[in-house]
Amino acid sequence: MNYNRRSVRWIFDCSKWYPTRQDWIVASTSIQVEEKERIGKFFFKRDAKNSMAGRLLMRKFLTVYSGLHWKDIQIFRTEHGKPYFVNGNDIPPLNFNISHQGNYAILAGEVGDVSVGVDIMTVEYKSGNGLSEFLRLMHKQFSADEWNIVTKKDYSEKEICRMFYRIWCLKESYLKAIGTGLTESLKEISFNIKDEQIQKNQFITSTEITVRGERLDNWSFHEIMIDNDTFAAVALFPKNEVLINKFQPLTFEELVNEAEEIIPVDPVYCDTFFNKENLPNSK
Amino acid sequence: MYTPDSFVANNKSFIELINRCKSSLNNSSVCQDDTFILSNVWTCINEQRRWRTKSYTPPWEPKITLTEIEERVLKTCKAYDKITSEKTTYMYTVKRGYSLPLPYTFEYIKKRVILVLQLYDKIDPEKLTLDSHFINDLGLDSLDHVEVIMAMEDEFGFEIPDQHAERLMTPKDIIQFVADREDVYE
Repeated sequence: MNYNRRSVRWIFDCSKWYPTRQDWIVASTSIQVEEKERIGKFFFKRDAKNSMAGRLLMRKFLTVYSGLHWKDIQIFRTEHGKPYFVNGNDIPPLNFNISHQGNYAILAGEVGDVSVGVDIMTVEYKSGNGLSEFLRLMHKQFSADEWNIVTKKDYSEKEICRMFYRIWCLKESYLKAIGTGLTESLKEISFNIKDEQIQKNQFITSTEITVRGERLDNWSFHEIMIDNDTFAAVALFPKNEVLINKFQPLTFEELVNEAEEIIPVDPVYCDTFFNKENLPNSK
Repeated sequence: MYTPDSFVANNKSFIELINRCKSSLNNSSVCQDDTFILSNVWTCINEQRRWRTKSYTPPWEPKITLTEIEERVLKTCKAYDKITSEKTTYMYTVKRGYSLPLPYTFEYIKKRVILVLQLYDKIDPEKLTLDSHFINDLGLDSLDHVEVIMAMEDEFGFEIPDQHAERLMTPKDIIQFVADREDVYE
């Protein structure tokens, strides 16, 4: 069928979302029941909000670009837990992936036959023994070439942390695009960073991937800085034109603009949410 | 992070090392105090670890070898001999070598897994139960989860393949995994 190729990049700042009871009712009745239950299991509000935003982002994307009603969208999960949509006859191919961590939930969607994976990470700065111990623990996760990039000669500890997280984000985005979990050791997947500086106002696309020694030319990686300490990476296969240059922030109203009630209101569920602690306390 | 009390020799090269220390000390009337020997081996290994991570660059090979550790431990033990030789109550010789590793029990594995998790600064020890889900209950993210698994690899001295690691989401899962691997039953 004929369709217009589109790239969608949305971001929702969960840390600035203080849902009212009504907000949470709208959100929790607009998602599939098994997801509502899964989200109910989180101990911390932050994690429930992040996960909820993720589900809403997915449904919004699928509703807007499929032409179907919100309530008719059925999202499944692969055996590895990756959410997917079954493309129907009169619907353009829709591919999407979400990620959430820290303050944000993001969605990368493609209208077209493009596999997509996305990851967002906020850097946690470590120093001294804490940093060396962390890097030692992680040594199997990165290839030798990547370690050379992360621990570049003049890098400060802060720069080391940033580069570590940037590459981690890229790896996760690739694995999420593939969607089958880890079938090989992470150090077989090696990223080559060509642009040391990552930007806020547009994606950089120069990073290359090598898997088990072979350069995968047909994959592209779009990286961007969300805030000073947060990176996002989008993995795309096959390589395609860049149709969008950054993540578009949504408000809660925009997020639920197309939402329809698909499961009944559950007042106890809402009470439970509001009684939860917000964040884990660090020691 | 670890004290000699919480450490017990577990992997095969460690056991061998301790056996070698003990048997070479057999002939001198030195204190055959297990804790002493273990704590010395542990200090050497810890130093080796610290030394390994002094630079951030790979390869992550140990900078000192087991032989060197053995020499240093022996030297320390012999020095100890000079102090305790007057204390006859401690003098005895070991009549048999220990050729089998210390027996694992379910309880022992559990204690060590919980200890590693309690020492992890992102986990609130008060919230930690055997069934605490790392992500849902303890608020960890996927990178933290990898860190926990790596710390377990360190603790028990064997690799946990990524496909298995992905499914180890509670302390109980980890304990069961280690127990299965070491053929330990509750």
